[in-house]
Amino acid sequence: MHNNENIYKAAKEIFYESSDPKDFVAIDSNIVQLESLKSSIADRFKFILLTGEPGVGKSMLLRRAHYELGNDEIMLIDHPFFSLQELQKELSQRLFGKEVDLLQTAKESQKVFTIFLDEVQLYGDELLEYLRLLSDTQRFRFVLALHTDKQSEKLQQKHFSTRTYKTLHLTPPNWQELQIYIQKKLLHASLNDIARGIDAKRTKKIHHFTKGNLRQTDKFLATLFDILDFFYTNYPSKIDTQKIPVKYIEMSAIHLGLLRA
Amino acid sequence: MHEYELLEKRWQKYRYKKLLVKGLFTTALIALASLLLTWKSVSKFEPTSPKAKVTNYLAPSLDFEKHLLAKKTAQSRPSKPSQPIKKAKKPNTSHLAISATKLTLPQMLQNYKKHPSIDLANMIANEYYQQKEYQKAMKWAIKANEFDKENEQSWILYAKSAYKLGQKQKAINALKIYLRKHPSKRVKKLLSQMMQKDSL
Repeated sequence: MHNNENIYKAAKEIFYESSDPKDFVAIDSNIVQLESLKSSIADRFKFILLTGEPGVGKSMLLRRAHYELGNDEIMLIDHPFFSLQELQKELSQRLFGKEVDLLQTAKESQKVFTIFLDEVQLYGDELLEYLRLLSDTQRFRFVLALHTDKQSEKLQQKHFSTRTYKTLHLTPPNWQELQIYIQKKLLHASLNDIARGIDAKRTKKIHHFTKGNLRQTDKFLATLFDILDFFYTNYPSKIDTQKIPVKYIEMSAIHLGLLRA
Repeated sequence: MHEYELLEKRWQKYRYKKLLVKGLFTTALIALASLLLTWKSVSKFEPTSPKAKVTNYLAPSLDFEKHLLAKKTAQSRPSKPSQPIKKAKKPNTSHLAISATKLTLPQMLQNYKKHPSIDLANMIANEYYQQKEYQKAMKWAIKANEFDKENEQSWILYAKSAYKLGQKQKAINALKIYLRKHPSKRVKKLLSQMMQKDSL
């Protein structure tokens, strides 16, 4: 399985959390939503909501859509705002290069600005109300990524119910999709031997621990390959099989608190 | 020690516990299964009616009972006739074989007190016969016969025990009576052995 070089070192690097849209891995559960979002940009809308539980891949999908659309009039803001002033200031600066009254300026503008906002579940009522006012000028439209929970459902109901054009809901992948996700990442980094070693049994085990959560899976695999890197470096005789021993998968789960031991 | 070495030790403990739990679970399962099997095996001895079934059509057999009960123990042991014979009626000879390997004579007697049955009575008769306690074997053959007058095994055990006690004519008569209604090859063979003074 191994060459002289330690391939586990390379493998762990690719599972460290990345915000690069080029690292997006297309699987069944997200490719449909990505295409749907891209095609909706051509339509008239005020709000599109992208929902799903934390770690399911909303932020990455938003970045990927922004990257693929490659339009100057589409802006991505991936950090949350905690005051109205912060939001107004950033939007003004990025859209007009100076601080302006957005509501007034927007009415006078001929352009339509599309803004992708991430982590919207952290926005307060005042900010959400402001987004609603901006959308009513017909010059702003928003794609909002937010977690699915009772609180955010209330939020959606209160502020966007009549203005939401579409809600795209992301669900965690099943184990087969997760296997594709892992293998694609490994193959992309030319780690073919390891990719082959992640068989159904091992993927099911990983899926069992991470529940298909992509962020958790990345973290899990980064830990797994870090452990394998350590043992391969210090006790190479312990790792001589064609497949990753289940022992190390369980050790990763114990290390991350996903398995009680 | 590196944190991953400590982690490996934690995993080993986890693995040990897991195997222990699995082992205990398997043992419990096996114990439960064997308990269930034993219970089933014992429950086979339960009769449909605890009281002996009395049928009158085989009148001569009542005679042999009376004679038998009045009989004193005899000491002489004639030569042995041959092997048992093919059964004429269904009853459960297979149960005899199974339970004979499982139960001791005291256990059988104990079980019989709780759950009297033809199979168990035959088993006890057979056990006494093997132990050369022919008087007791005869007594238990009669008990078995009280459940079912047509039960071949009880007739054979009775006849063989009588023969061993030197009551050759009584044994021959019993087999002849049985043969009047049941053309059993096994009984015929036993009868011919007795008549030719073969060893049983």
